[in-house]
Amino acid sequence: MSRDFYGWIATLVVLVAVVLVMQGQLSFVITASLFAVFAMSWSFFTSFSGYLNLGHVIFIGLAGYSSAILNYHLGWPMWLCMVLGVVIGTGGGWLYLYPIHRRITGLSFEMVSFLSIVALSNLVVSGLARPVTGGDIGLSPLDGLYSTMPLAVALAVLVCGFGFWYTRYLKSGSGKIVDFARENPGIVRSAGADPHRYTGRLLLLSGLLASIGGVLYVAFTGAAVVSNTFALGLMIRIVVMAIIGGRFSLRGSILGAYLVVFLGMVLMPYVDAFVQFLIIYAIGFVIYFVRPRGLVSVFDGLLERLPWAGRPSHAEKGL
Amino acid sequence: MPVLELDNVEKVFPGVKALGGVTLRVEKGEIRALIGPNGSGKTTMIATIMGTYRPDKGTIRFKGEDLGHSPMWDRVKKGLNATNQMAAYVPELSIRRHIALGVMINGFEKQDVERVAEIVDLQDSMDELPSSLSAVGAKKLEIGKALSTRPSFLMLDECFAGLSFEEGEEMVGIIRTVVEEQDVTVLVVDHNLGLVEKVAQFTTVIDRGNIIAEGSFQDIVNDPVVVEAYMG
Repeated sequence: MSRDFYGWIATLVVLVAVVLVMQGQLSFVITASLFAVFAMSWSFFTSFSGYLNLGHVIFIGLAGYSSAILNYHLGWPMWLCMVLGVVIGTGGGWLYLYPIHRRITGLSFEMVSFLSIVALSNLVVSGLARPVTGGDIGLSPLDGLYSTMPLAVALAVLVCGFGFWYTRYLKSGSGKIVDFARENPGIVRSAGADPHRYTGRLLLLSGLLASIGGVLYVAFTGAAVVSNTFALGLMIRIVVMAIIGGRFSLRGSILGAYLVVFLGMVLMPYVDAFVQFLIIYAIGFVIYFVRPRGLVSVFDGLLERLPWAGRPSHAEKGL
Repeated sequence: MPVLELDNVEKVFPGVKALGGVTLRVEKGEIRALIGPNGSGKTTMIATIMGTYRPDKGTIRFKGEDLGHSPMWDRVKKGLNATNQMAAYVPELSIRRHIALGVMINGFEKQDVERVAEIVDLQDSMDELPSSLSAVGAKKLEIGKALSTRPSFLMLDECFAGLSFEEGEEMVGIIRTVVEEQDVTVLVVDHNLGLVEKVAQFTTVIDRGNIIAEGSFQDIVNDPVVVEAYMG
């Protein structure tokens, strides 16, 4: 078995240990894992393709709302609604974002993806969609998931399973082509390939995990509302988590998600939600300038100093 | 039958007619030189052949097939390729990975990486970073990247620029090897007339977007129209 496999097994052991230590606070652990799913899937596309995707919650929203609509209006079993939600979220989000990513790059892509979520969140709460989406009240109650130990462990397995898969993908032939596509797409074109084909695959894989997270989050909260799906605030929280943990790193995104959720838990008795966000965003702001590669780079630095640790290659850094 | 044919190709940028109806034929196995003063349209012509720019008029045929509006990567798959004036590379990735990219994308055997490295004489620097290369090394890397896609027609843009005479002669040797051993037709675009004379069998002169002369190097340098274009 590879070093990557053992690395992700070690990460899984840590996450399961967190579940065991915090049995009394399982809802926080589950929320942290769901945000880890969002942050890691965002980081996978944004950091490794070079496109800053501010429309990532399109996957989460489409998947979450699709599962909720099917369950709430049609009364279909939640597991089936969740499966269909993942298919709709991944497919729909990709069909929306892929042509945009093919046509435009840089700031234009960021602006269009950002404006897309503003437009979609307004559409969802509008009177036009209210009969289906429930408007600003949303859809609830849904047949949900509960804060249980098996769910918490399953989410840890999901996070690490995708982490391992993503890592393998980034080290595969396609991942090596993505390294060039991110830095200089012209080199890929002059080697005989369409660079968007490879960055588009990253978008699809990123959307798959985000969609799984989306249906799980809606099922866990028991409601589909804009604030936990298409919201700009959710998008910003995902970005801040990735920045705090390390946006160029899959494990960094997980670390950031856990830190932000647990920090919120610690601050909750003392300050309201707005002040919590203010503190968390301020931390993200400081880290962005002090440690641009996030807190995970502190651990990477310590590990590299261990006498038995081999220095990771450039390509391995951030995985 | 010509391997590459340009018929009345025009490319206009705002305020500038970069190519004014260029007609050109290059035969298989030839080493053709394309020379012309700065701003004469040489690089625009390469970019148009590669699909970076769409011609406003005219057709480009490769092996008899009209390339139409096909994208660059599709033209590379068909056997066309070109090197850049300034080497294009990712500083953090090794020379080996740069040459392996074309081999991997096109599904060629892994041994092609070493074969190409030997042709361009980079076999001893494969695990180094491209930034460690000298000017001539960077030119070799450009040729290596292009050869990794197994082109049948290769355009070398300013491949002698910035090189000493000895380095230029080394490049001439590489170009000859590419043509003779790899069965590649080459279009050399450069200013260095001394080296162009050494390598090219046939020379085309372009000025202000129009072909003004074609023939052997000696015919060209004695052509008053060419002398006028170069000397002003």
